[in-house]
Amino acid sequence: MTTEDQRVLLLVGSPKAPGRSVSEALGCHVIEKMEARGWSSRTIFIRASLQSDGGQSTLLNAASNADLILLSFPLYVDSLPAPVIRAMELIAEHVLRKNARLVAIANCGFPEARHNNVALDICRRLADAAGLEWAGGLALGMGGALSGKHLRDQGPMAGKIIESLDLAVDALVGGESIPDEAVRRMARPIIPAVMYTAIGNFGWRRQAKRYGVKGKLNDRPYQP
Amino acid sequence: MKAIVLNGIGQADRNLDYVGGIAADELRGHGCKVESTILRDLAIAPCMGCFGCWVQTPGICLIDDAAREVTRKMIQSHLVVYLTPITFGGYSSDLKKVLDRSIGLISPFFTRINGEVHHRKRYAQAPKLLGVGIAHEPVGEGARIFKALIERNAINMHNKAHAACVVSEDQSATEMHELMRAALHELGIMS
Ligand SMILES: Cc1cc2nc3c(=O)[nH]c(=O)nc-3n(C[C@H](O)[C@H](O)[C@H](O)COP(=O)(O)O)c2cc1C
Repeated sequence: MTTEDQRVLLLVGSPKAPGRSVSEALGCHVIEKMEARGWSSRTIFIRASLQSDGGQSTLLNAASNADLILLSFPLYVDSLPAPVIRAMELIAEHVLRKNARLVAIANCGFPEARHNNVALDICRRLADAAGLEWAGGLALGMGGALSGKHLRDQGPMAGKIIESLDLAVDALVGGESIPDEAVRRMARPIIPAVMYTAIGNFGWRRQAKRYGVKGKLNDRPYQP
Repeated sequence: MKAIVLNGIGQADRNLDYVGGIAADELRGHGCKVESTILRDLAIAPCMGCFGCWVQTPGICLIDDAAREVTRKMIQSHLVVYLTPITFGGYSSDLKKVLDRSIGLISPFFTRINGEVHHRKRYAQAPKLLGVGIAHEPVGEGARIFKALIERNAINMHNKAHAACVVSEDQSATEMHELMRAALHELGIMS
């Protein structure tokens, strides 16, 4: 089989609209680089695809035809967003390509990349259950410092992320798993954690002000 | 003591429903007033990731469906039980759809816990958390991941205490009762 025959499927696990999520920006960078190396690609937004039977079968057919499934998702409550778990439940029941591989990219809102570890363990278990070869996972912290824009337009903060993803692409097109160096670079803080949390806390207040609820951020509507 | 069981057993796993009955009996035997919520029967939309529950209507999700009532009951209970088939080590999608919608129960503001960043509490009291995972094999890797996930969630959601118990389909009801009892005792809930 030549590299021209290889197909990568990007599954975007963020529920945000296309063009808005960090998950999509990370995944897009990878598939663009893989296309430049002769791979063909397809992108599916999980939440939208699960809304109809047609979308669901499109997702499953695309998974069946992929040589590499790239799952890029935001961390939700220490795990994967519910629609991503639903897609996993369906994929695990489905017949996939022999020797197909799964790779995952998790991004989270807290500064430390290690919050993503349990979620990546879950992805690895999915690979086992679905008969996919596990090609490794990348974990990114400080997702709140990034946006849905293309990574190359996100300034110097995206530098180490691009380095990490490029290392991952080199390995994946060569049939290997994600190297440790890519994992290390992705996990490095983008900015100091104290700066990140200070900017984040300021951001919550600024957004609340825009919605006219500045003094209400600590409200307890369900206090018994 | 008020306990809410978030039953995340999905349509395809209905044969496991009896485990929900065993959990409810065990809780009642420990003096709990039990409310069981079968999540697969509720129309709950997935979280949209907008953070409106923090910055637009603080403490309440913007989507007006059954998840609002479930999250209200969660914070008003003394004990929350996550009951789920262990799904690749984690929760079923039916359980997860409500948990994703429950982050309004904590504050957006950051704090540090054990050297890591998390969110601050919103409510003074958060319930205790019991995870009941139904596994194909109780000692496998899935069980380890499930216990780690319960522990991580308890930090994030500020649960007062937490315990995880893993039961498996090939166990008898008596064995399941024993495992659940041990987990409740770990939480300081005695009969
Ligand atoms: C419902 C919900 C739960 C979240 N839970 C966590 C969490 O447990 N840990 C964390 O670090 N970030 C958490 N986040 C933050 C997201 O992971 C973060 O904002 C991420 O960068 C979003 O990526 P996206 O743009 O690809 O959707 C959560 C966000 C939402 C909406």
